[in-house]
Amino acid sequence: MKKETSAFMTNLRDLWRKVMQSEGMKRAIPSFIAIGFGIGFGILTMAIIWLLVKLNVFNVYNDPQFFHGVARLLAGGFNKGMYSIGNMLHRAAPLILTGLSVGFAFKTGLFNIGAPGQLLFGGLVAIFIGAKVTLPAPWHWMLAMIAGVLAGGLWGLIVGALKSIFNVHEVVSSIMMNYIAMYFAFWAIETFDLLHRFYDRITDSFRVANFTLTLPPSAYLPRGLSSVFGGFTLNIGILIALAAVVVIHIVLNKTTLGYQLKAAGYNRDASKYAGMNTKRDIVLSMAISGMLAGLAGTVMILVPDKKMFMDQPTMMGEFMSIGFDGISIALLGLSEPIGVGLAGLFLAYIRQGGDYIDLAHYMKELADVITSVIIYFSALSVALHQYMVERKKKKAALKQAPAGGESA
Amino acid sequence: MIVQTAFIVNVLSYTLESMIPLLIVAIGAMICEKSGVTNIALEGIMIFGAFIGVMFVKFAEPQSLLEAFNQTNLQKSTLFLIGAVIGGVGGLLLSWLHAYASISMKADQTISATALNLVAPALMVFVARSVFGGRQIAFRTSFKMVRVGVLADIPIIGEIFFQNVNVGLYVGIIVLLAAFVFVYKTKTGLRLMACGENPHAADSVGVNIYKIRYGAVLASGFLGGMGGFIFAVSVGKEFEGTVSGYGFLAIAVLIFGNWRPFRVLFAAFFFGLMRTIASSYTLIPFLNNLDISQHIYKMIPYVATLVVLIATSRSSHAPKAAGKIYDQGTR
Repeated sequence: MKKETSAFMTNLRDLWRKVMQSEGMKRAIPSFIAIGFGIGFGILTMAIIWLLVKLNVFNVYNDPQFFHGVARLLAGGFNKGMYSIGNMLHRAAPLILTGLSVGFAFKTGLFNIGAPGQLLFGGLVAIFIGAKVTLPAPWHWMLAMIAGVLAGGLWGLIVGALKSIFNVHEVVSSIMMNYIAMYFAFWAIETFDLLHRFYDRITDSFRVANFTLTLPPSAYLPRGLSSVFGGFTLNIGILIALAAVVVIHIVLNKTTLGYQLKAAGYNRDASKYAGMNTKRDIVLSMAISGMLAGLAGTVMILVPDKKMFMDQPTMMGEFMSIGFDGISIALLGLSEPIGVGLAGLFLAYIRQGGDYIDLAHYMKELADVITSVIIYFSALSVALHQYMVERKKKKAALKQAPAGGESA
Repeated sequence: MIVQTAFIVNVLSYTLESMIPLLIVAIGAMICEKSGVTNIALEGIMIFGAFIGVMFVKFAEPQSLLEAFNQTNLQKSTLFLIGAVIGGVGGLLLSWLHAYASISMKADQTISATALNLVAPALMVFVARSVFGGRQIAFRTSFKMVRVGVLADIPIIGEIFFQNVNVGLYVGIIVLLAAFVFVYKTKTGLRLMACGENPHAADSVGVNIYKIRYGAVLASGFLGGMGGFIFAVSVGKEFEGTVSGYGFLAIAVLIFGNWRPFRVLFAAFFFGLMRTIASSYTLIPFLNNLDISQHIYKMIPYVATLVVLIATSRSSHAPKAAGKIYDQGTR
């Protein structure tokens, strides 16, 4: 019996060693370093604010509690047991999808900073279908979702077409498309009468609110499991996101199309010379990238109580910002679908922690600061890691050189 | 006739006001790209510069509304210029991070710039909410000078350039001229261009690529921060932590302007005009009568950017080495 357990343990140890020494793990090291720096920076910021308040440099209504705050931040998605885990998974779904969107474009040599616009456009079309079409339950949300995916794809396709036909830099055109999508959404919501109306007792009339109407229940994604997650009703968004991770992993690694798109990402001239249609590839990969972002938009909007607001700060802060998060997640996950899945979960975890630091009288925006610092350091640490590897090689070469010299 | 002149003067002065930050930031981007480093962190740099500059204004200005209102032109302009320089220094510090990552560490320029674009608004909102309790930072001074001395009496020109303007207009003109002289008429400027066209050739004749690129990125950071401050104080009396895509618009202006100072001026004017139409179409009777949704008008600058980019991107004269990491060891 004892022998068996020890054999099991060695097996486990071997497996652990294998995982730790695998190629993927080695490539993930810079991400881990960056995460360490980011969280360290966040804690440092909290400490500085705590000290400044303690020294009466400035006063706030509620004194921040440093240790409480750090504990809340690090506890992340585990702050309230199963409830917050459910919340974290719910949050992670659109994050993973936009991360996949940006990551897929990265893999094919394009920078899709237009995910916010594609996400918004996909969500808008989903609202439109949800509100204007009457269908029984499974078909209704499916139709809304497919329409949203196609809409996001269209928004990405435009950027790709502009690049391949007119040589327009995709970063600048994507940003413009983001703003166009936002104003288009405002216009469409007003024009197609998608605003919420409510009865005002004081003026005895119906008034128009500044947010979109409630969708019929048939348009919501299937949801349940509230008994498992301590009262939090989880929907299938996270399953959709995980399915997308698998699909994109297969497309990128096991299909001709994926190979072709990746080859164009490594060296566009070489793949053109090899006879690939690189112009078509650009359009195609932007369209796929846009479809993923559009899917994220539908996953976000096809839930009870989620609305689009008609003012710019809320639209940017609550909706489009998920698209920008996709960039962080893709970078952190090294654009690999599986890495993106993990990075999306991590970001949701940190955000969840950020929400709970309110309890220690810190501002939840700290989570965003931490994320952006992580991204900066992941840009740095890729370079730093390469430098270290090269130095190791050089040292090894130096060690061998004198030995060879003596024998000669 | 008189009405029409007044109307054109109005449109022109609005256009000037909205084009100046764009011009200054685009000139910064031009210097940076000519050295071979792309700087798409300008959005973040603008936000950071505006944040630091507006914070300074908030603490340095007279603390009562009446006093703030009664400031003389000289007081206003001094406050403005110091704010702009402080904003510029803020932008410079942020861009130093970009320079360190992309030049010294040879990291991906797009990624480090993206990180800065994320850092600036996040940090700004976080600090503003921690210190002031909200994401807006409000200040009291209106920087517009009603009349600038006797120059304001010149017909038409006086009305456009010397009435209801802030000192940013003159800063913009000086920056444009200085950048032109610097890039085309000085030794450093020519070396700068060589760095962006063929860094290895420049290196072989003894130009220190790293130093020049550092200088260029820091200069673009300074101008970006300054432009951000000027943007923030031109649009209203509070800063909300956004420059509505101006940093990216500036890059579009640079592409439209084909990396040449005076074409950049023209491009900035074009975008300023588009923005004026978008924000004050109600003042233009002909447009107001069309009864088109305000949201469609707000789209105009961005759609116009796309159209212009479609027309100009094919024959662009971008510096050849822009965006490429320089490594002495490679060929």
